Amino acid sequence: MRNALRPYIAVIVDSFREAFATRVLWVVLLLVGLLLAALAPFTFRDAVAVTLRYEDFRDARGVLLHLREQADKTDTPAGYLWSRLSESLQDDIAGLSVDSDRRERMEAFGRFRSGLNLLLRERDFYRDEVWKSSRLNREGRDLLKQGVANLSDGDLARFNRLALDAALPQFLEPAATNAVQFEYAGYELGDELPFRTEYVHEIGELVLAFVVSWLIGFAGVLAAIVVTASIVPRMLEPGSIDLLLSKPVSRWGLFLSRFAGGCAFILLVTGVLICGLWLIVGTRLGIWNAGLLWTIPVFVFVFAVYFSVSALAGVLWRNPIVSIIVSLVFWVACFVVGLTKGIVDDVFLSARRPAAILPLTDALLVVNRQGNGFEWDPDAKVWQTVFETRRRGPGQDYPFVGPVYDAKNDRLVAIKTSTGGPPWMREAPKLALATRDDDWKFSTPLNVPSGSQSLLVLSDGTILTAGTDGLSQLAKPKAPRGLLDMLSLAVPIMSNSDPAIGRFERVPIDDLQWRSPVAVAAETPQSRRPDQAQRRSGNPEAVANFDRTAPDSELPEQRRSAPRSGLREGDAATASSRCVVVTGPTIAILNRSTNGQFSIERQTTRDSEVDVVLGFAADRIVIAEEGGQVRVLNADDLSEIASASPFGKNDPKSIAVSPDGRQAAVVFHHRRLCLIDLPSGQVTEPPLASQGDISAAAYGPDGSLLVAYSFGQVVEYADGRSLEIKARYETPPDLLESVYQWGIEPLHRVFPKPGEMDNLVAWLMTREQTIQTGQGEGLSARRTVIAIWPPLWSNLAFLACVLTVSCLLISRRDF
Amino acid sequence: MSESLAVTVRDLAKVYRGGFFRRRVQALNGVSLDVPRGEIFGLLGPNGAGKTTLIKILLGIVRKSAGSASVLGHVAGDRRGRRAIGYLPESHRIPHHLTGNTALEYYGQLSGMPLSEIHAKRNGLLDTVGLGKWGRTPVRNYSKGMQQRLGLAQAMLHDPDLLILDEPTDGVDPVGRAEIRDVLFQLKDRGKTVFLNSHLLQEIELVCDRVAILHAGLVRHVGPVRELTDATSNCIVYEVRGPLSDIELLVESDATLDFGENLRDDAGSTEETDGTMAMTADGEPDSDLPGLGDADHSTAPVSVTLIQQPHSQADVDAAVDALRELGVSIESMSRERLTLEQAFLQLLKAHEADGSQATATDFLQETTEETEIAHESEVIDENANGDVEGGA
Repeated sequence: MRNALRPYIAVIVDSFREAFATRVLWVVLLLVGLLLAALAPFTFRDAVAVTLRYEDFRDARGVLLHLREQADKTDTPAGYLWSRLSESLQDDIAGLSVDSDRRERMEAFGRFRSGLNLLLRERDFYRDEVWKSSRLNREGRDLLKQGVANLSDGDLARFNRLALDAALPQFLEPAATNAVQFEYAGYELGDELPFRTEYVHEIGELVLAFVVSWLIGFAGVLAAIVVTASIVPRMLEPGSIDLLLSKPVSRWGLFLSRFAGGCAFILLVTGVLICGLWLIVGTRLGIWNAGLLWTIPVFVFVFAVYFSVSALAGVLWRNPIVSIIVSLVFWVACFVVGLTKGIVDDVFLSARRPAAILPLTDALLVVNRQGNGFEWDPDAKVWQTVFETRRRGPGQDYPFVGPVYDAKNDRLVAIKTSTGGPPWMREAPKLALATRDDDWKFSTPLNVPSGSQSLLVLSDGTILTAGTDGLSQLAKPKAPRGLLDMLSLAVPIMSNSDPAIGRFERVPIDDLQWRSPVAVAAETPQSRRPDQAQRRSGNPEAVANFDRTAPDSELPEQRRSAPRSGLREGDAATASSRCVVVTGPTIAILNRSTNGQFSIERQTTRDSEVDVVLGFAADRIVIAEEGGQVRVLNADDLSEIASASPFGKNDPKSIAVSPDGRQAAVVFHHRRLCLIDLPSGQVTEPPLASQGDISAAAYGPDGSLLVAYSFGQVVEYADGRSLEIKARYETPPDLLESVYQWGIEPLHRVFPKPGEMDNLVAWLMTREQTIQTGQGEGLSARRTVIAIWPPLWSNLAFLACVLTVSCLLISRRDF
Repeated sequence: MSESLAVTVRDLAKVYRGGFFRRRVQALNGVSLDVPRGEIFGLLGPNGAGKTTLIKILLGIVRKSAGSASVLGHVAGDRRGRRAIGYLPESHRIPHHLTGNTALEYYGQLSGMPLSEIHAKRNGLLDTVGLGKWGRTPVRNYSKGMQQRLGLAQAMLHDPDLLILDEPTDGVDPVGRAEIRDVLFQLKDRGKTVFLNSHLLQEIELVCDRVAILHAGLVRHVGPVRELTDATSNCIVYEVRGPLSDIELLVESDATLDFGENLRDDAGSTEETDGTMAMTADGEPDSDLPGLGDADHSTAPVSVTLIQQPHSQADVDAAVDALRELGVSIESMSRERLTLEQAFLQLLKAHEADGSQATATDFLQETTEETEIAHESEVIDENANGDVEGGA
């Protein structure tokens, strides 16, 4: 065996000899060394979070208006702050009006931020009398005890920042507890960033995946094509090939070993580069990512795909220039096919994917990612557009939290979020209401409290929002409160109340710390027996034994309304009087008493603070975490019954709970659905034809499971257990969809996709099948599903074909 | 096929199809020959005759169109056969990143030799071909002759039974040629077979036991070198001195006498010319007595070489009588042995001439069959040269 392979090994070894002798390898390795040396000084260290960043402002206009309003009350923090601003800055802010253009506002705001940051360095910033009513947090109080005069400069800035946070809690995100400072060769790069070390690692991995796939996957592969283009033609040169072919070796063996020699050369260079990178990010940034090392074979494989084309061209024309040209043409062709597919899919068609299903008793509504609503027309068997959301361009984020059907008032409720532009200059999120009488056209009467991330609609029609500020309730308008109200109404850009609808008021809940991430879910109404409320307060243990099969005759009104439990695209739900809240590390069940007061029924602390989506059905709470973990808790003692990661590290998107409270459906961002048997906590992946293409799921009022897939198709299964198809709400594809389905997609499927191998790279490094492509944070942000394995298979098939053809040509040819 | 034969070729034909219109080019047209083991066999022929094609078919580099060929008892191109062949291609190109030593490592391993064996043999072999001091020098610094020597070394490295050498002395200086000749004789002494392809006829004449002459895809002659050169032994060469116009007159009247085509490139024959007698300067086979017609009609005596191909002794006597009658003095007269080159040229001339039976059949034992094929191949021959080289 060894003897048989000896000639071929000699050919591979000769490729290296050649690479060394022609100095190509030396030059490439030198470049790699320089690159690594340039990266090596980059590092970060732990720092104290002080600097106020743009992202720390929850409501940019709000804070400016607030300071302006409080300008003359210097004993309040806001008034005091105003007095500490420079006069010119005061003038600028005072001069802002509704008519001010965007740039002017941004400039003023930018100077305001810088001004505040300067103030934070001053020792006389904190005044006891101003802060008497504001509550410093524990860290702030500890620092204060030491005496402001005794603090080091760093501690002083930190203390001032904490004081500032306490002064404007409604407008500022609290300063992070951890921060990092990036450095290059000892020089600080910009301000400190409020990240935990783990977060830096996470971000670092993403950046690394991006850099690696572009640097090596793009520039590196192109360079490699050029460098290696002459390998095969040189072997086939007259005078050289004769000698080789006269030896007792097979032609295809000769060709393949020459091919392998080129790949080995690239393997060496990539190996040095990636291993160096791995060591640098490991030692300097603390990111020890084994996935990075796995990218070495991936890149060599990507290169091999291009190189096979180059080699085939070399066999056919024996000219390195032609080889390079042919490889580049191939590269462009792959790129164009991939790009076309990407644009059509991500930008145009993906916007049509359903984001929410609203199965009312007498109608079926679907809202797509673009924010357009459709109602199923059973006669014409088509989806009729019922509302549209105006958009700045295609492919933007889902513009709603919700919507949720409010059965009591027969209306849709949602939070309308604005998209586009930098986060601190976006329009404040608004409450959106649509009634059937008005053909489901949304109106946006008033702003929701800043920081609202979730929406709850209780069964009596009460609308609640939840965010880092806590829970807020839309209160009915009371009698006019006089001058103050009039004044606030006179400020047109502060539309925090509406005379007809009311205004959001904060719901005080003792002993609950609100911090990001926040998620809420209302209890699925039918799953609760009327006597449970009493029992729960009295004897929680007894709840587990109640008979679920008893009919819910007591709640006819709720029966009529469809439960849309935990529809994330923003946590929204109609609710009974109980809900589950996750805020920071806390999991709490809140109970609303008859007098409208919320209290904590029970709470627990979880290990992590990752974002979650929630489902709540009587005695079970479903928590699907960022990172793919799904947990089922017993609602009575908040103990964990079961946990599973059905799809690895893929993130969940939404949870729906069946009306009988016995099953939950979790839709994941990579468009797969799993079902959870709530009593046992068992997680299964149902064998649906649409798996991999599912973007929303909901339970109908009668317990049927509705699954939305593709670009606006819905299938209704009789229930989540038998998965028997009850109805299909499907329309024939339109022209774009047809072209995509019968043209672009098949072409893309058979075409080699070397460019898409960076998906595998990203997956190897992050183990997630989706990448966030939308704005915002957390699980509601828009994500694109990336294909990981299909490109590998199609590339392998292509590589095998091209190499076979090359071998055949070279075997049959006269030299 | 006999065990004693190193190479057996029967009715071998090769048609190249190349170019934009897939034009047919017949490179070999029914070649048959045998090379016994232990022989140094020479292959001769003009450019485009099909020599390299024949060699490449023997090695499996080019596949045959028809006929059969076997090498060392294996079908030509078989890997087992190739294991025992050492090949030095014409104008070969050893990759420039190699040194003498690494080139031998590379090609030795390709021949299936383990490195230890290569290292053991390498230095001695480099000494043999005269590269003993150049083993560490990169090939790109080698002269043409040194590359040729290295090529020969790699062909001998794995101790093959058959060496196929395509122009081995190309670019090698005379001393080197002699050295290579010695190497070939050593190989022969060790029982190796050498298949030599060269256009340096002198080389062939010096080393080859037998030669084959290939022309236009056909074997025109196979036999010992002497057989070719002896074939011209009925030629009489006259060194005469007399007035040119008289000699011309005589040549025109006597069909057996000629001086254009058979003029010898002999220094002695031109020593007394006054520069106008260009016919002695060049041995162009198809030259039409250059300079003769333009010469001044001087009656001054000049030295001229005449060659006669007499049919009988009477022809010779008649020629002598005629010369003497004209007052031309016969300085010498001899039965001539042609060099291989002259014989080769004669032979080709004979084949190119339309009625190829005239002079050629006089001294070559050609079969009529071959002659017929020669007619057929004439047309193809015109194109063969360029395309074979370009298409390969």
